[in-house]
Amino acid sequence: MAAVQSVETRFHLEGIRMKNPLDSLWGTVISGLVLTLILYNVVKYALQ
Amino acid sequence: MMDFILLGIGRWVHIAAGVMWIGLLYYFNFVQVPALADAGKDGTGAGITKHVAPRALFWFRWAAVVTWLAGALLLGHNFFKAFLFLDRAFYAIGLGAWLGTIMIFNVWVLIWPNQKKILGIVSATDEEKGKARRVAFLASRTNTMLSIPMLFFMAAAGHQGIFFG
Repeated sequence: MAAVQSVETRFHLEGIRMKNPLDSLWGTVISGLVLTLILYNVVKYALQ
Repeated sequence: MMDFILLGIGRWVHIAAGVMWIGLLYYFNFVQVPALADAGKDGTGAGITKHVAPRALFWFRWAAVVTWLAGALLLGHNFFKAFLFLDRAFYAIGLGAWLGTIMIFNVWVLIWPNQKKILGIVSATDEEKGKARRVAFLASRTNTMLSIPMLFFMAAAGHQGIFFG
């Protein structure tokens, strides 16, 4: 796990150090829920 | 009789194999990765990497194939209607099928080849193993993330009226 986290786990955006949400389980689950919400609205819009 | 085999048995196989695939995906992400992190501290991870992980990966990658093939069989002549979003009735299942297809790509192209390096099934330098760990880890986490909308759209596909009005 230490090796996993040591390789490019963080990136910089305009001076702010950001963490990849997929590096944590909660980040992964929340990303999945947000993606579900977005895709749900895309399909709902397309079906109107 | 043919409908029973294709739509009945086929759906059962699709769901059973899907449970095994996604169940093992969640096992890797929610159990094995944190367990190996702890085991790495006291050097007890060999049992998992030698005896558990290869067996889990075998069932994981072949369950993915069976799930996808059974899903394609269920779509039958509607396969392209779903994948190309040609018919509104297949929007939800089409999106679910696309997410599942991206996931099986990740399994066979990103996770399994890199896991072979990590587990020593094929030879790799320490640097290659380090890279392989990161790629396999992110592909596995990506699949965990994608599984959430994928399962939603699979469930919603048979009930578009309820889910999408």
